[in-house]
Formats: sequence, C-alpha cells, structure tokens
Amino acid sequence: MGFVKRAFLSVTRRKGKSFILLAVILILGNVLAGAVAIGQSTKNVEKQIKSQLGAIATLEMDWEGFDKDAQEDETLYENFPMLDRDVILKAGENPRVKYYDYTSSAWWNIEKLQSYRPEEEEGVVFGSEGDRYLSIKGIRYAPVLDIEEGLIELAEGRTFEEAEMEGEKYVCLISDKVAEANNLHAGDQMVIDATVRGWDQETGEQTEERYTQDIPFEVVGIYRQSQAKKQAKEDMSEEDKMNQQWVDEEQLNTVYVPADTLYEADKAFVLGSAEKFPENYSGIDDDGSSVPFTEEDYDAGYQSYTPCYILKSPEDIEAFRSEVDPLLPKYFKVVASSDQYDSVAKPVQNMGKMANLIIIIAAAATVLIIALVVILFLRDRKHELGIYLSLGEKKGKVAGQILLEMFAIALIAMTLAVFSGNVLAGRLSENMLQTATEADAAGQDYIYSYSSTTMYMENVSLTDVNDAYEVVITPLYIGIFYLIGIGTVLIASVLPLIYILRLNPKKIMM
Amino acid sequence: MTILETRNVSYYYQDGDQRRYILRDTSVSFEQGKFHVILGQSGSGKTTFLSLISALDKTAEGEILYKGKSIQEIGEESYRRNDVGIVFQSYNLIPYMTALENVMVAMSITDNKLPEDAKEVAYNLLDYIGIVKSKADRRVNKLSGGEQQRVAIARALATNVDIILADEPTGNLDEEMEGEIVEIFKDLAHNHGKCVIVVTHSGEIADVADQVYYLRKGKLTSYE
Repeated sequence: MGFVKRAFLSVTRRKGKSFILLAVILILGNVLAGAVAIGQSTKNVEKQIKSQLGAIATLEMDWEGFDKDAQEDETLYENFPMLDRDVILKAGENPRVKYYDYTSSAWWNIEKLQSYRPEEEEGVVFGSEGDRYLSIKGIRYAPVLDIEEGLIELAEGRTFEEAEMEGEKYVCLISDKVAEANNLHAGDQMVIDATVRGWDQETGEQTEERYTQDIPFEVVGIYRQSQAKKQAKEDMSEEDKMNQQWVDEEQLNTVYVPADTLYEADKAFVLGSAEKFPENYSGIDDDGSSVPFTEEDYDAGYQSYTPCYILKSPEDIEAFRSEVDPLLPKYFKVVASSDQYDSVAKPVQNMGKMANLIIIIAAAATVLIIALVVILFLRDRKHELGIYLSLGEKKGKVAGQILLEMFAIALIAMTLAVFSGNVLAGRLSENMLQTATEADAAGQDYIYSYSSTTMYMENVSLTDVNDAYEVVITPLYIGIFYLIGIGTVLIASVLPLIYILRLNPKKIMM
Repeated sequence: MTILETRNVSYYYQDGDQRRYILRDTSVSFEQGKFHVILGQSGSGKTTFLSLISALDKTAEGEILYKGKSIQEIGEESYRRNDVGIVFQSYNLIPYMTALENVMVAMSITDNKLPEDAKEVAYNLLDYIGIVKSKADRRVNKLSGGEQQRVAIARALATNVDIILADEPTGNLDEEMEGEIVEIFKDLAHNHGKCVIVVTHSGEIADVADQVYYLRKGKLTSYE
C-alpha cells in the first residue's frame, strides 16, 4: 500500500472532510472560473473585433494636444505642424508594413460633368442643392490600396501602371456611377471642368463669376463598390443606412489619379483661380497690403499627405505604434483601426479589468483559505502522520500523500467549477454588460467619418461588441483556469508542507 | 547474541545554563531471542530511553549500535523502516483503515524483502496475534482496546524486523488482556528469535521477562 493508495483511502474513507474541502475549493473555484471565463471572453471579443477592424494604421494630427497647447501659445497656429514626407517613407520601411500609400486629395466643383448623387428620399437632402463636386485622390501605390483592401473592385479596364505613376500622366479611375452618369467607359477621355465661383465678400454669397479649367483625363479603369460592402449595408438599420449613404456618395465621387498628376493639375487650377479671384486667396501683409498667392504658398499649405499603412497582422498594430511614434513630429500620432474598439468597448473592457482583479483577489483568498483548511485537517491527522513517520516513512512521501489528496479533491472541484463557473460567468456578465451599457448611454454608436484611411476600417458599435461577447468553454479557457487553479493549490500547499516537515514523531507518538 | 547496544548514552534538556539529565552515561546491551523489560517510575526516563533506541529521537551523547553499527550511520528513518517495530501504549492505528490495511501500511513502507502475497501474510500475522479474518477486515475503531493492541503488535511484526519495542503496551488493558499480550511477546522472543524490549511500570510483566532493567536517576541497572 504505497502513498498513492493511502491517499485514495484517506479521500474515500474520510468522506466528510473530503466533502468540506471539495465544497471550499468548488466555491472558490467558481469565483476563479467565472473571472477567468469573463477575462477570456473579453479578450476573445477584443481579438475578434480588432481582427474585424483590420490591420490599418495612419499618421494623424493630435488635435486635442495641439489645441490645448495653442490655447496658451497662439503662435502655434502660424506655424501649423505638417507631416514631413520623409517621416511617412521612414514609417513605411517598418518591417510590419505589408504595403502602404500616402495620398493627397483635392475637391473640385464641376458644372458640366455629372457626379453621382444618391436617390434622395423624402425630406432628405444630401449636400448643397445644385453643387456638384468630385473628390480627387492622388495615390502613389499603383495597384490602388482601396482595391487591395476590398473597399472597391475593378469593374472595367485596369489600374495604373508604374510608368503612369511616375510620369505625371493624366490617367484616372472613376466609379461606375460617375461613368454611367457621363456615359463613359474604360479608354474614354474625360474632361473635368474644375470650377471655382466668385465670392461676394460683403454678402458672403457666391457670384455668377467663375473660373473653370478643363482638365482632360484618360479613364483607364472603372471601379464599383465591393459586394461585401453592399452586403454589409443590407444588414444595417435605417439610420445607419442613411449615414452610410453619405459615405457612399463620397466614395463614388472619388476619382483616383497618380499623386504627381494631382499635384500638377491642382496647383495649376488653384494658381489659375487665385489669379482670377486674388481676393479669395491673397494673404495680408503686416502693413495691411495684400500679398499675392504664389506657387510657394500652394506647396506650403495645399498639399498634405495622408499615409495609410496596411500591416501584416492586427497583432502588429501596437508594435508598429511604439516603433513609429518616436519618428513623428510633435502633435502627430499613430491612429490605428483597432483604436475604434477602445472607444466603443468601454463596458466590456471594464468588465475585463474587473475580472482580472477578481482573479488576483480570488486566487489570494483561495491560497489562504485552502492552506488554513488543510492545516486544520492536518492537525486532526497529526497522529496518522506520526504513525507513518514512526514506521520510517520518508517525509517526502508523507507530504506526497497529502499533496495528492489535495490535488485529487482540487481536480474534481475545479473540473466541476469549469462548467458551473462558466454558466455563472455567462449569467453574471450578461447582467453586468446590460447595466454597464445602460450606464454608458453616451455609448456612441457608429462613428461616421470619411477619410482616405478610415474608409478601410470597419465601423463597430457597442452593440456589435456586445453581440460578439460570448462566454464559452474553450480549450484556452480550460487551460488557463486549470493553470491558475492548480497553481493556487500548489501555493496553498506550501504551508501544510512546512507543517509536515516540522513534525516530530516522538512528540506526537510518545 | 547482542543485537542492540547503547554505549555511554546520555540525554538531557537544556534548562537555561543548566543541563537536566534524563539519562546519563547509559551502556546496556539487548540480545536476540530474549524478552527484556525496562522498569521505572513515571518520569524516570523510560519512554525517553525507548525513543532513543527506536530512533524517534537522537542521543545527546554516546551512541546506539544495531548489529554493531551506529543507528546514525544506518540512518534513523531507515532503521525505523527496516530494523525495529514499535508498539505504543495508545495503539496509534490509522482509524479509517481496517486492521489488515494498518498492517499492510507498514509492509508497504519497509525496504525488507517480504513474501509476494503480502495480503495473505498480513492475514496470517493477524490470525497468529488473535485477530480472525472477519475482524481483520473491520475498521480498527470498531475493535476493542485489546484487539487494537494486537493489531499494533502485528503491524510491528509485519516488516520482519529483529527488534520489537513496546511502550507500556498493556497500560490501557485489563489484567486478562495484559496476560495474553505478554504471552505474545514471550512467544515472539523465544519461538521467533525476536529481541523484545518492553518499557513498563508493571511488575507482573517484569516477572515473566528474561532480562529486567531498572531505570532510576538517569541510570539503567540490570536485575538478574
């Protein structure tokens, strides 16, 4: 009868004591399992949503920080910070970047050419009546990032060739809607009548005077919105659909052109406009005289870059952020697709933080309570332990027997707790989420923004996060729980072991 | 033949700067096949002496030799496991185990080579001691005091040791039961070649012993 059999006999014959220890560990195990389950579920939902949000990062102005400093130092507005091209390129060399682009853009009003206008519903007006515009996006990544990222797909023709990107060629990609409105096909010539109207400085209204520059482009390709985007729209609520229509209008009126081409064309157009309407563009010198708008003024203020980095994996985001942040000038920061999660998922994140805290507290309580209960039981069994020692049993084996008994009971209790704790966590977190969501009434639902970068990013709401939250039994949850549970029992066994090692058989037996 | 020997063994408690001797310079030898009794009044140090020769405690001075080898050299744990069986006054059995299991616990701990059919050996041993099979399968807390002490003796014998040490083995038993237990010890010494050492204050047991020692003022004196 080795110490294993003795442990078995002790557990099965001393049913009352075994049951008490089982009950204690089961109760504490449920708290631990519940906290682990909630912690795991919050991590899962974060991983899931962040993966859904993609691995996209951009470099943006930190307006909050800038405005705060500018309130104290107004000269900051005069030296408005700009993102240097070298910084963008340096960040693009980061090994976590799969591919990237940095775009510039311009908005050209048009009068002859037709732009896309969504079907207007009763009482809903998109944009200013009568105004038509095209959003011109100057890109440097020839395969077109928006196509690579599935935002749009090529319906006709082709994307750009490298030679076109470098040679300031007047080539473009337009949407199927714009093509349809103007009866255009791939290979056709399209003339954009970029127009700027005069502005009455007294009334603040537009005048009939206008400056128009006809800019011819060869339409090399026609794109359409991706099927996935369309499908996503069908699942939206009415309110969300309306918001999405605005985003769609922006997208479908986007004309993709090589960045250098845009620079040339827009500069010529702006300088032409400035010549026609100098009052709209000129600056005022210190002595009050007007200063004409020059090419240098255009270069200094009209061209800004919006970089967009597609990273290899969503897990690379934080590393990319920490590696690129030191390269950035003051008032610029890395904005990533996953940031949206942090802004909408506060109730879930808080629950995760609370779960982690509970794990620490429950583990500490478990260590203390199990250690005390086991020591109390050992004091009851002092004679038994003395008998083993007087028979010449090694202290290691006596300790082994006690550990085995503890672990056998702990294993049963924890196996039960894996399931009951999970159910408990499910019910508890459901209530907690509901309460937290109601409290977080400001629970900003969809954040609609349109920029060259945020368009790649999926929009998530707290509802999406809550829907994705699910307490389930996964191998990882079981593994972590057993690891914490068994680790806790191991630590709890230190005190009983010390007790056993200090036993003196003579004092017990004689 | 001498099997166990104490050489100038002393044991004391440190009481401040003073040493309070329980045993002083004790040299005595115990022989195989003999029933030894150590007599002494309460507090005379009988139990301390037994704890030293059973290696439950260590001598302050001097040494104890088993078959000519120091038990410190053998290792106290190993000595208890393989060379000596102890019977306590209060039986000290494991209450949630049966009589048989209590015996088998000792058999599983020893390094001595035992017959393969340990269970059968344990049953036979219990039977020899007066515990029939039906009682052997009962939990020990369901047995009488005398029966429990028999189980304790069986456990001491189960590891096939040469020395049986007993501390007031009949202290909790009536006279009739005391006689039966003493007969077992005599049989073990005379017919099975064991060296039996019983510590007691009972004169009746001393009357039937082969060798009696008296412990007084820390000194062990032999009575022929």
